[in-house]
This record gives sequence, C-alpha cells and structure tokens, in this order.
Amino acid sequence: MNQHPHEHALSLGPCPDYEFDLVELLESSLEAGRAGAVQRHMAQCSRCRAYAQALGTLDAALADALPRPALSPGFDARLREQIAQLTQVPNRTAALAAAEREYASMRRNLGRGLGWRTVLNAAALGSVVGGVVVGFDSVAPGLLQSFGLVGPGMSATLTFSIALGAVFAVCGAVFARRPVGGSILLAD
Amino acid sequence: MDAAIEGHLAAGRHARAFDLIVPEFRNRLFRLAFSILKDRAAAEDATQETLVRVWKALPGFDGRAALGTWIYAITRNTCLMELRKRRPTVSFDDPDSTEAQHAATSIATGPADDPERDNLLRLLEMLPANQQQAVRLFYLEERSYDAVAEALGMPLGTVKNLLFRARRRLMELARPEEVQAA
Repeated sequence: MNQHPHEHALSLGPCPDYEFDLVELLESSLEAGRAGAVQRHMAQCSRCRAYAQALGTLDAALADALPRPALSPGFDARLREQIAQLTQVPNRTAALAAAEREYASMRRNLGRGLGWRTVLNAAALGSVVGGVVVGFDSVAPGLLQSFGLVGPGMSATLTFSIALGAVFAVCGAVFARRPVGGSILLAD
Repeated sequence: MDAAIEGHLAAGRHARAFDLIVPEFRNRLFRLAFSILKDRAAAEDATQETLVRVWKALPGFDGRAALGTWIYAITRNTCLMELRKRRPTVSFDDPDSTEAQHAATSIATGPADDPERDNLLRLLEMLPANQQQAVRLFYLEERSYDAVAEALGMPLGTVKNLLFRARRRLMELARPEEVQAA
C-alpha cells in the first residue's frame, strides 16, 4: 500500500531543530521573530508542515476527548457539615455514653478489688471462728452438761455445727455486698 | 484574594481565611485530584478530604511556602494515599496489559460511544503516569502551563518538557494505526 505524501512526511517527523518551536507556534507562545522564521521554514518543508498539522489535530482531539467534570452542587454543604461535626462540642448522648463507660469500668475495678477482699475477709473470719470453736470446745461441753442440755457424746458434733453455721453466715453476708450489673442512668 | 486570605491568617482569623480559601481553591483542587485519580467521585472525595485537612492544619500554617503551594501539596498527598488504598483492590496485575488499559479507560470515561475518542484515550493510558497527568491537567486548566506547574509543584520548563514528550509519544502511537487504516 502506497503512503499518502502527507503521511510519508509525517512518518519522517519534523526537522529536529524546529520540533519544539512548532509546539510553541501552535500555542502562540513563540517570540515573534522566531515565529516568522519557523513559518518561513514550514513553507518550504513538507515534514514540518505535516507535523504542525498533526499537532493541531492532536491538540483539538485531546481537548475534545478529555472529560472535564465539575464538583457536584452539594459539595459546599457537605464540606460545611463535615467541618461543623469537627467543631461542635460533644452532645448529651455522647456525654452520657462516656459516663456509662466510666461507670462500667469503675464497677469492673470494684469487682476485682472485692474478690481479693473476700478472700482476706474469709481468712480473717476463719481465724476468729477457729478461735471461738477451740475456746467453745474446751468450755462448752462442761457448761452444757452442767445445765443438762447435752450428753457427754454430743459436744463435738454441736460445736462443729455451730462453727460451720457461723462461717456460712459470714461468707453469705460478704458475697451479698458484691454489686450487681446496672446502668448509671438507672441511678438518676 | 490571596492577600485577603493571608491577612486573615496573619491576624489569626483562621475561620475567615478558610471561608475565602474554599471558593478560591475548590475547583482547582478538584481538577488536580481528577487528573491524578481519573474518577469524578473519588476526586470530589479527595477535594473534600484536602479541605478538611487544610482546615485542621491552618492554625499551624507558618507562611514559609505560598498558600497555594501548601494546599496543592496536601491535595497531591491525599490523592497518592487514595491511590495506595486503591492498589490492592484493583486487579490490574499487569498495568501494561491491554486489558488493564481498556479497563482503566472505561473506568475513566464511561461506556464507549465514540471509537476515535476512545482510541485516543486508550493511547493516553499508555503514557507514563506523570505525562498522562500533565496532559489531563493541561486541558482541564484551559491549556495553561502556569496553572499546571503550580498544581503539580514543578518548574514551568519541566511541565513543558513533559507535555512535549507526551504529545510526541501520542503521535508516534497513533501513526501506525492511521497508516493501517489508510
């Protein structure tokens, strides 16, 4: 297939000394004296003429083809809204939520402390009850028997039952003080 | 306008300065973001994100750089972060593949309805990213080299050279197809 003379000239490219000037000529940014020289050259050079024409075609095609979108009409309103959210003080709901979280955290901490306290209380209580049981065991049998309330074989069982009852009662009282779940809002 | 903004900034009236910055810069920032992201919705989100960052950082603006230079730099960084976020989700394993180029073009331009236009945009996608961006921004900015240089934070000569090489490459890419079509 034979090439059109214009295409043949284009395929050769412009004269290297004029290539950049041809772009500036197209954009009307070439200094006047140089522009005249380039135009005189183009009148005699088919390669540079073809290149200048192709440049113009490409420029028009790009200007036509490239999309030029615009911001949507609601842009300013959305921006203002976002800025306002950053500037406003925390509202009541957020403040209540923060207080709720703090209250829950306090409850958790209190629960952890109470666990250790319970163990210590139980140990202390065990010591006291143990002392009472030992003392009671040495005194009570004679005392009870002198009143004729129990027989000689019953004293150990009685003292063990009293001691066990006392331990359960005290432990029950300590565990009953442990807080249950709830909301700070319910405390209002 | 810039003098008024700088006056407010110097006086510590940041909110009033911001009120002037938004109408002055929003469209320019959007065009820059679009030239990088090639997607209208993403460019709008990036513009909004940029202006929010400007609002937050304005009290710390020390005026060592020009306000526009500073704001454009924030825009470019915001867009680059968006591109990094996008990268793992886009399945363009080979960005040089024809499929990837077709897909990128269709994302950028919508459905094909003008073969010549689509072909030109496909060729544009074959250029290096910085040349593509310069070309897109050049036409978005009504062929203003100065506006492109300011937005991209490049010297004027660098922008002219980028565009010169981009056009030469586009003409080289287009030529075999023209010869085949003849």
